[in-house]
Amino acid sequence: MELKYFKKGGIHPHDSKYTADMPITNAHLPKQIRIPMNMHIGAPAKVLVKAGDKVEEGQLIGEAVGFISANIHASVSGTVIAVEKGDTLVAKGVDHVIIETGGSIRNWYDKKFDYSKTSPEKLLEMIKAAGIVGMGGATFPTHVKLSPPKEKPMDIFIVNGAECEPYLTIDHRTMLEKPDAIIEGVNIIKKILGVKRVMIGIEENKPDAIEALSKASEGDSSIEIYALRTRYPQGGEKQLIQALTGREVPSGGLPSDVGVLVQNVATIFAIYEAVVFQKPLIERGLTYTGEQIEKRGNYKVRIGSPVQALIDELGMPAEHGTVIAGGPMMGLELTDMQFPVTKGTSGIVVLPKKRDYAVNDFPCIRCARCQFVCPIGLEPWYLKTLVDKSLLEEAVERGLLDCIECGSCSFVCPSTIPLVAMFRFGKGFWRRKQAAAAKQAG
Amino acid sequence: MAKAKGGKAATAPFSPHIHAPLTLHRIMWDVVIALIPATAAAIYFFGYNAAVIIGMSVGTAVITELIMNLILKRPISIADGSAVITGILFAFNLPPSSPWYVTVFGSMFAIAIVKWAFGGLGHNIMNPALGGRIFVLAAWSGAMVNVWSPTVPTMMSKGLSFMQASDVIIEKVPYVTNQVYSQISQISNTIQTNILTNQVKVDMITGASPLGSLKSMYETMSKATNAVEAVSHASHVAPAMAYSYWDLFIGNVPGCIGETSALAILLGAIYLMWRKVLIPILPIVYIGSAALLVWIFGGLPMGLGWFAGDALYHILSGGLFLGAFFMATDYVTSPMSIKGTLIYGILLGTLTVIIRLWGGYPEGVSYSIVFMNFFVPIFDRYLKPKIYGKGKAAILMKGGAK
Repeated sequence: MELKYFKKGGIHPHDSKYTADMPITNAHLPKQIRIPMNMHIGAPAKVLVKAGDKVEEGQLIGEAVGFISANIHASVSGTVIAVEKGDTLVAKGVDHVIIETGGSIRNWYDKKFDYSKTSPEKLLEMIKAAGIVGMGGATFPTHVKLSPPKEKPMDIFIVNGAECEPYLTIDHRTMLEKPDAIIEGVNIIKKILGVKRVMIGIEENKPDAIEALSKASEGDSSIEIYALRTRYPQGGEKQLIQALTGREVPSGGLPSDVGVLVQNVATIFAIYEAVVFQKPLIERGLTYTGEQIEKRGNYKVRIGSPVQALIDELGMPAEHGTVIAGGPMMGLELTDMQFPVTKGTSGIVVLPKKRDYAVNDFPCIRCARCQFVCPIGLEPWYLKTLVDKSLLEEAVERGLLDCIECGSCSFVCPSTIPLVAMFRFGKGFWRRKQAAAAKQAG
Repeated sequence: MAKAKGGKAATAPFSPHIHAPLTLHRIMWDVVIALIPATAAAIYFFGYNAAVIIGMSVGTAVITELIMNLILKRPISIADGSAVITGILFAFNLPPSSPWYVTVFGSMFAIAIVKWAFGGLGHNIMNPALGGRIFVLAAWSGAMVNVWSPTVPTMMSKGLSFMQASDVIIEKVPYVTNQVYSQISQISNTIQTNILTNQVKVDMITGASPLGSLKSMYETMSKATNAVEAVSHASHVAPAMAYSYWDLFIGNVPGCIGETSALAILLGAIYLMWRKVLIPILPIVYIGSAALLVWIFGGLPMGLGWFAGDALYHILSGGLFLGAFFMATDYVTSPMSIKGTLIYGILLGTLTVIIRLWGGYPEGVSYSIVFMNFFVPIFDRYLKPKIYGKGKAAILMKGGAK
């Protein structure tokens, strides 16, 4: 098969996908869950319950505020014991609903909903109601992505099955175990968008997943399946679009600017469940893995389960390194094991040791590796100097805002300069500055 | 950014959480390992003097690095290996007869002025070792030009092959007459007899480097109006022609101590490629373009016409291999982009050939590299990679799908 790939840069870290042949199983129901109201990009949801309320599994407990926001549901039946402010990995002082588990476990799969006569608008409504967000990690509300502006018609829908992050295998397993569900999910999205062409991209290191989906989509000429070269960040939205369609999302633009929509496999599976079984997004698959983890594997976990509950069930050696929510390239370090699994948590990775950064000890030796691996075509070595010297205007001119924070440059930098961290800082600083200037002007 | 104190690692809670195995220290020490074959070749061909010079140069470089660290209050950086590399490379650029002060002051200059006066590792505007070489070349030109030949036994065989050299000259230079030939033969016979009968006690033989001899030949041949003038310089001509390609390849020729063995340098380079420290684009383009240009123009100064240059002789002699694999490729002083690297390599090759064929020096590698080093910021400024989403494809797409 002809391999598709993005044009520039990229790295090939050791894939460490130890759990690729382990079926997805259910994790234990935790005794208590903590659900933050900001598990998506956009406005945090408004809490609908108060302490003492009895909630049912799947009950709406947080309501979307405004267009870019998402509903949040109780992931277990039980009693709300508190609604309190707390910190999450990305924000401080966020409303959390804390539920003590107790009561019935609901069976969502007893009857199937026939969506063949449902209108696209109604389907979109169902997805919005189910609180689905991009589950690859970006957590952008899916109903927003599925309602592109009229002047930007979509012609290609891309399914992201690349899973290029090392360690993670949950998308791989989902494709392998639920190929029919994914194809049905794809059909739902096709119906909503009215697109005629679907491209499924899967890295070539998952031939079984390619085969499973090919089989499931047999006879449907609108669905094309492509093997992608195994190269990080093949699953980056912009890279995937370039690899499959040859189109380039304009700087500062969105995939819809080039008539493309990209959805991750996990999100498509959630859409399938939301429409066919009317099941809101209350649980997700994730990979719990690490070199030292004996019970590593792929698990279905309720949204809001504290990571500590997983650790209690599956074990973690006392001597361990960084614990990451997400993959090791773009994930965030879990600083507190009470933080819950959220809608965007595709994995819990326990590294054997903490990565050492010797900040500022080693100078840039201009080896050009960062420039060589940057999939966007930036000059990280130069941007870093500009950010360091607060020359943000020039940095933006040289593409600071185009950085996708994939981490390839930091990964290869022999002087271990925390390039991505500096760019993130520079971007944040620039945006605050712009906002302040806009405020002053207006 | 939080600053970690001298050498102590600070943990940073940001992605990516994994790192490629290649680190600064590994790269630098890999380069040192890659220089071992050339060091061994230097000691084999030039004797223990070469070992003394290399040791002295490395020692001076490391001590100077330490002193500069202390003066400038920087973290102690001798462990990163960069000073060791500079020390070795600087020694490689010295003739085996260099006096100690040339070695010491040159090495000191390379570290203190060329490297640290500009801010240390990563900030120097030219290759420190070559900066040092140019400094000593200007300061003690006599000591630098007096090139020492390989050790006696190998040179003896060179003396004996004088006869063959005469044959080469007859073949290559059209106006060497039979009379000249017999004169050359006579000289060579006398030398041979003297050496063999121990009338002349040979301790060591100094001689011009292959390129030096070649240079003299160019000058002789272009100025000589008749055969008699040509033969008066025959002694210059002969040694240049006496070296076989094999001698040049393994390094059995006069020259600076680390530059003569193309074989040893190649071994080191292959090691670096295997360790993913070196991508051989620049060396290949540099040596390739030099070879091409010598082939085209190399015959002109000798009156042989176009496309008659001895490309193989040129690329194997002098510092081209050392320069192309270990000096021009210095990360700090070479362009960042692939496109820039290609152009840089071609310009390096061109400059080197111009200096060798028509310049005042027999060798042009070090001057070419240092000269081109100054243009690297311009390469980086104008040969930027294309940013995704700002290219033609994206601009065409802007404003909706087609």
